[in-house]
Amino acid sequence: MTNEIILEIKDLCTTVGEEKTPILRNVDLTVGRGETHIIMGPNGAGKSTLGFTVMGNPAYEIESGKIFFEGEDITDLSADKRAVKGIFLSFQNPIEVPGISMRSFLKSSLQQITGKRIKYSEFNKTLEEALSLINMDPSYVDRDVNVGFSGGEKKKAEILQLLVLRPKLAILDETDSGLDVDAVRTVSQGIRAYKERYGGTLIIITHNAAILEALDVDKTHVLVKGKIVETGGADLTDEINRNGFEKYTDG
Amino acid sequence: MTDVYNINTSPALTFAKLGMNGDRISVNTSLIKKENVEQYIFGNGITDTDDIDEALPGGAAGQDIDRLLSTESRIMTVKGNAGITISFSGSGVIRRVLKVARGVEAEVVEVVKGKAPDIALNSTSYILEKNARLKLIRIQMLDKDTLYVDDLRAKLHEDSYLEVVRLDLGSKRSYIASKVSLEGKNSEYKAHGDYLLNGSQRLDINMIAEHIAPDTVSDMRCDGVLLDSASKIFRGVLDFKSGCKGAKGAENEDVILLSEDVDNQSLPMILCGEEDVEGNHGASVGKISDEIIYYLMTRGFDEEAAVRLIIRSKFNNITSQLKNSDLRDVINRQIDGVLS
Repeated sequence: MTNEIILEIKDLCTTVGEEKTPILRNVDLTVGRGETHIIMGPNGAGKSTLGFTVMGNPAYEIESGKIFFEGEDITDLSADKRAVKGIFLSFQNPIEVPGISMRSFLKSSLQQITGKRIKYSEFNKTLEEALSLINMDPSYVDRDVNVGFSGGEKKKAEILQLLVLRPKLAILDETDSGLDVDAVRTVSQGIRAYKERYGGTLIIITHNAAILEALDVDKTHVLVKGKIVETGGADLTDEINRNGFEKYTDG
Repeated sequence: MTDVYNINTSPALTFAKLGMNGDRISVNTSLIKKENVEQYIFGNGITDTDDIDEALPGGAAGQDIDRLLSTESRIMTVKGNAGITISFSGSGVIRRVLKVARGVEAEVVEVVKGKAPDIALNSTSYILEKNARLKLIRIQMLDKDTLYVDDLRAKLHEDSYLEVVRLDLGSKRSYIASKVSLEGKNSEYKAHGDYLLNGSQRLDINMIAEHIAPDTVSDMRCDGVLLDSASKIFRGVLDFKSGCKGAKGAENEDVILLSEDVDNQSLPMILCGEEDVEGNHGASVGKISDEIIYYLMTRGFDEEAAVRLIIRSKFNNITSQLKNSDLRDVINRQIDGVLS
């Protein structure tokens, strides 16, 4: 871990829809390179919106505030340009893309992000390594992207993408939801490998402490009604798991 | 001499003002020459004989189009897998009867290419005997000046199975007329057609599954992408004749519209002369969802590349069925050319 800032969100306010419903309200967040930050909060607090906003989802309008990545203002950049800069979002509900195999999709994606043609031999090596890290059956990559995958397989496939694309910053939006105990452990292994092998930085949106067991958490942020109402260390995660969000939501 | 011909007239008419009941084409018959169309057969799976037989009567293109066809057709016997290329170099008509003998299982890949501004008419009758199974993959890559009429007729005997997979990419105006008669008990017909139309291309489809025998099954699917000011009409007819008890038929289409100026019409139809049948139809028409484009953008694809990838992936369902990698590459290049 270094003190170098990789992501800085300043006074961010976002709305959604034609009626401009406010979601995020004056959010400030600073993430250092190599750190692991946890975002917790009750349903509807704006956690996924935060992930989507950092990843440039046009469905969310930025009304004010700025997002800096490695010191560069990326507030107005499209999602693909943010991906090229090294940001990755693991979706809570990964999308199905019929007609293209996961293998072919990942290779094309890696080429888009790196801007280089990747040799099959080189790519296959990367892919095999990633598959083994999360004990994923190699036959999955020859199936169409997320098509016919169970909920758990889709989440594992997102982590597979993380391990192949190796971004500088990964935002994981409830990657652990809907997973059984074994699958949480596997996904957790993959996330740890991303951090340790590739020096990754993590923002993890979660309700589940189990996924955090294998990770050293640097900061926990509590998001309520679009605002970060408290920031603490790993112990804050434990406290919330014990006591819930009542003290933040009451009144 | 130029005559006007009715084509693809619907078997049951709807409001005339909708302009969906059929179309008319002008053809200068004096330009039609035998030497303008050539057929090449690859592999040992088809025997081309000099025998002459009558083709199946009553195609979906209509009686007018029959006037352009001679009554006699060359008979070809399908014994195994084969490839056929039909090449037009001017106005031409080809008419064939392909027989698949009892118990034979085969796959035939047909490529239609070349150029015929006045008319390229390809009429084929498939006769599947008892227990025969045929998969026909037809790829149409005609020059974009061409007027193409694809007249496919089939007769299915007991327990036979016909699968038609088609990809229509070329020609200026195309008429797909397909009539499959499920005459034998337990016979089954499955069709999946994809098309990609841009510029001012027009595609007019009239597909009929005629259920005659009991326990017959049909499943017709037609998917495509329309760009620029392209237009398409799909008439899909499930015709349940009296006596086809237990028959099941389905027709579906999925159309992606990539421009405000495209024209997309659909006329699904279920004709019931028998009560104990099951007929379903469904359609999905729209743009590519923002959600899927955004997902691809988060993986590094810019918006244009994301749309291209989605469309390419749509056609992969068909191109991946082709064993000939050269043909696959040619098709992919043609698709990329349209999308670039």
